Amino acid sequence: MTEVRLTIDGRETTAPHRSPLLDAIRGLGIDVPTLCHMDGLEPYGVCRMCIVEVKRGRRTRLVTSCNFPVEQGLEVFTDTERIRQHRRILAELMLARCPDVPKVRELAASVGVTTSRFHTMAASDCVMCGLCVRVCDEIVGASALSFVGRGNVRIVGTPWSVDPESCIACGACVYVCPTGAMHMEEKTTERWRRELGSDKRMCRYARMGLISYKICPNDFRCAECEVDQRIFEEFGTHPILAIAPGLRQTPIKVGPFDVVEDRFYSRGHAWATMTGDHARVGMDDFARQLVGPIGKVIMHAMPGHTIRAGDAAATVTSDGHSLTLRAPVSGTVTHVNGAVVDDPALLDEDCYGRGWLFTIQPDDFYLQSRRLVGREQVKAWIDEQWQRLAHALEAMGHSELTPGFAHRISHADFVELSKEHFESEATSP
Amino acid sequence: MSATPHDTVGRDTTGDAIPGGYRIHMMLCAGTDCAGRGSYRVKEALEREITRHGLSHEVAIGMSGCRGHCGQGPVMVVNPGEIVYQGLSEHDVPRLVQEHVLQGRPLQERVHTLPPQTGTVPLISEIGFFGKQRLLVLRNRGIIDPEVIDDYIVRDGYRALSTALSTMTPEEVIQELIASGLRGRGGGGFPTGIKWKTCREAPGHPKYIVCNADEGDPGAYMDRTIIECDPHAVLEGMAIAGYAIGARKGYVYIRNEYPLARECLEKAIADAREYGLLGENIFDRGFDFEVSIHRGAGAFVCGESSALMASMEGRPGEPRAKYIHTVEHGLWDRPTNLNNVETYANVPPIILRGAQWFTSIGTGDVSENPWGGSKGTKVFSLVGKVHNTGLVEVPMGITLREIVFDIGGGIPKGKKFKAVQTGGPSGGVIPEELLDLPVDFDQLTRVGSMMGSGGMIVMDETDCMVDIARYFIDFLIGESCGKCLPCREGLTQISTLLNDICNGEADEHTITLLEELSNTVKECSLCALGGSAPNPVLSTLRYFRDEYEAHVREKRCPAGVCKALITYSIDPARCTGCTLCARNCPQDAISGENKKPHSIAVDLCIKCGICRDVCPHDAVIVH
Repeated sequence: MTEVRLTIDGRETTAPHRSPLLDAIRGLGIDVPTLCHMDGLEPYGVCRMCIVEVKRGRRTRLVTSCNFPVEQGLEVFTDTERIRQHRRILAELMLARCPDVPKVRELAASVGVTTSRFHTMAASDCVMCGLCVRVCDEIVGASALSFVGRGNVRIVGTPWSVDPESCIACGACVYVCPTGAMHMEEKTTERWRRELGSDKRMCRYARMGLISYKICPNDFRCAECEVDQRIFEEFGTHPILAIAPGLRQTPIKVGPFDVVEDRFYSRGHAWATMTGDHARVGMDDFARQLVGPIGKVIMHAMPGHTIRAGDAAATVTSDGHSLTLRAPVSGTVTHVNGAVVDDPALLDEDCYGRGWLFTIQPDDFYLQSRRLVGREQVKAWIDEQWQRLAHALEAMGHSELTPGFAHRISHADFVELSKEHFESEATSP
Repeated sequence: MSATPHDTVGRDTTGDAIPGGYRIHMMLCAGTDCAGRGSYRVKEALEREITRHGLSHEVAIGMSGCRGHCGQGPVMVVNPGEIVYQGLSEHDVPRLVQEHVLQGRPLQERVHTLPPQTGTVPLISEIGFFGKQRLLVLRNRGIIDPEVIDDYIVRDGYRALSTALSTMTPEEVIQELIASGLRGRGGGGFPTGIKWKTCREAPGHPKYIVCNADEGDPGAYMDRTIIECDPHAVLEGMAIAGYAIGARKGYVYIRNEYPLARECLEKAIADAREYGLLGENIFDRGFDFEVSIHRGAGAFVCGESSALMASMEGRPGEPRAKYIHTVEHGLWDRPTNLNNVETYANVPPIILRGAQWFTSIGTGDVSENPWGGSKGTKVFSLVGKVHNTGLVEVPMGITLREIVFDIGGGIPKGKKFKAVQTGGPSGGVIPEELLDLPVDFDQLTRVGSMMGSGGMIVMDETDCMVDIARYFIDFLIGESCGKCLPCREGLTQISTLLNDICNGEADEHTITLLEELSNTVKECSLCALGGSAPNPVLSTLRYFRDEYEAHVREKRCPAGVCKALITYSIDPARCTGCTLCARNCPQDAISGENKKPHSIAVDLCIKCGICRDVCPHDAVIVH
């Protein structure tokens, strides 16, 4: 990803080419109001509150920053009178629709609007941000919710307005709803109580694919369930948001390394993240930078193979050095990423995204994840790894970690380093 | 309009082409409008009558596409002589055959005559409606049978494709298009050649060609007519685009409400495939191109490119932000070239006759900058308060006055022209003082309207501009997808404010708020539907602010339309006491003795306006 330069409200900054403009703005600590935006979901751009003015050449236009891709040389203004005026009108429209929703009142107040000059027609709690629909589709993978109808009679509902078979009653929609318009109905769980035999009443964490098998002892009354409380507390958010999907968060920097906090890491620098009932596995930025620009990927994991945590899963080679990545969890391999085998440069471009290596159906991801480095510890752990590496490099006479530094150190030193950091024997071509 | 293929290639009533031979050619319009008015019944009656006289080897009867004179259907043109018949029914047939075929003179009462009656039978070229038109896209209208591929081929059909494939590189084709200055006819006016070039250069395979035939503007039917009169022109244009861009697959997205156009296109695709003009290795040049039809499910917003593509992929037809263009990431995330029906139909003549010829028609200079002018012609559907409603093709740069008065024949019932709405529901109104405006992309945009796909609605003094704005906004409310806040909530609120104004419940602040809101909806909406939806409000505010002000300040509707602000009464000086109004009043609100002036009971009156319509003496007055 190439970095481009842009100015935001007169301040110069850099951001990855084509990354969302909102990230660059917030990176500077500038506040832009949003409603329909949530980190980890594809930007949707419907509340329009995040509008900014973008100047390129002589042309100035109004864009939504959540989905506008950053380009070289942009001049961005986040708080002009034109923008304030539009935000006020938008807030008034929102207030007219949802006059009693605290979140909407708060958002409106933040742009200086306390009352709406428009008529309230049919007051609703739903502001149509689409977070519930999108979380169900993009993160849970159930697509049990959708928009029904169009125009001003559009509502959130279930396909054909019937209790959807695909709903796993995970409650993620209720959790993300900013206005409290979403409620759990007992229909699905009632049906299960009626229809499912006692050996098929799966706990909601099993339905989310977080644990492999657990019968619900509580008649699906999650609020009264100890397991539920514990898991919720552990993640500090709805577990499906914490553990599941390719939540594409902005990477944070730990030393020279990019780290994304939304996933689990093995001590051997493989990452794993749950999507539906599959875990996706890849290599972290620490490993990537240590081995250098990657020339070749040899996949040992093959679809259909059973693999144990710690087994060799893939070997990456950069001329001179190679490094074997070990499986972070046990399970059955389901897919390998052909694109990264064909084009290993994907690993260098986007090792947390398109450079993934394989997917695996894990045996009880929740249990296994407790042996991995989670979101609370990952920063500290990478930092500690970086300190050790820096010491070792210094001892070897290298003071800086620059891209491709691996080529400047001797093979013996590389083997030493990789042993230290990967609990694995580095091999020489 | 002189030589037709039927002078050399005739066809008997069984449809088999035979060389030479016919004495008279009758081409009946088979467009949706004329077909609805019974042109097929006329055709059958004609065939029976001609057969009865034993003349089926002398008189050829064919069905053609629409000639555009839709208010007067069914229309038939008889050659030689270019005689236009209109308003035909099967009852006219025996006399028509008797007079025209046997006696050799036109049937007077059904020929097109100019108002006022001149007594002579005009040729097509002498009829104002046809005379000022310049047929490029509709070059084959009324001349060929759209369902017969040979008719198209005789008129140089597919020669442009053959020329492109055998003598031009794809880059040369694109260069020709850029030099021609052709701009997208779907509404945006983006230079077609530049779009093709971007699509050709975009990384990713395969690439797709899509033709947008999801015409949804109320009162507009340009694309339908083009397909119904000349489907092969569209297919040929798409194939040339496929060659230029490097695509092997084309789709036509056509709305399902156009069954006749769809059938016509299906037949055209099947015929072209049979002739090897679509399919593999076209003209033996190693170029493959296939076209399929995708039927739309009737959503106006699906005319928007990203919504159209979402709909084709099987997802709800909702637009997405187009900061990344569909020419790079379009259908199934592949580079996709989307043009409108009329744009594709313009391509074959440009390739055949060259960019230089094309740039000789129209306005501005496109030699340096493809945005520098508007070249070629534009098809408009001219509807509303004009004599000759129908479909017209005019050169860019023609004035609105020429379109409305010369081609359209002016305003009926001696009423006064007020405004013309161009660009469909999201366009804007243009007032009388701008009637001499040359019609092109940039001029229309400059005055707050737009070219759009070519709807043109003429309004007279009895149209209230606030009411008109409300009509268009209400149409768009029903067609908004509801995805983004300003379009979904904003349009509803605009409608509410307009209702308040029409009902006399508004004040000065309402107009200010209306203006503020319209600006936000225009600037902040996600797609072009919302972005242009407030145009009717903004343009009526710009040119007819006094009407808005009359509504809020004086609680008066100057055009006498808004029911809450008007009262009906009878002028005793004019009323002759004919009792016609009293007998027609659905509320029994009118009373009065025979032969004495009547009066209206205001509390009973529902302001339906029937009394005014039926009064032979214009005695009913609206305040």
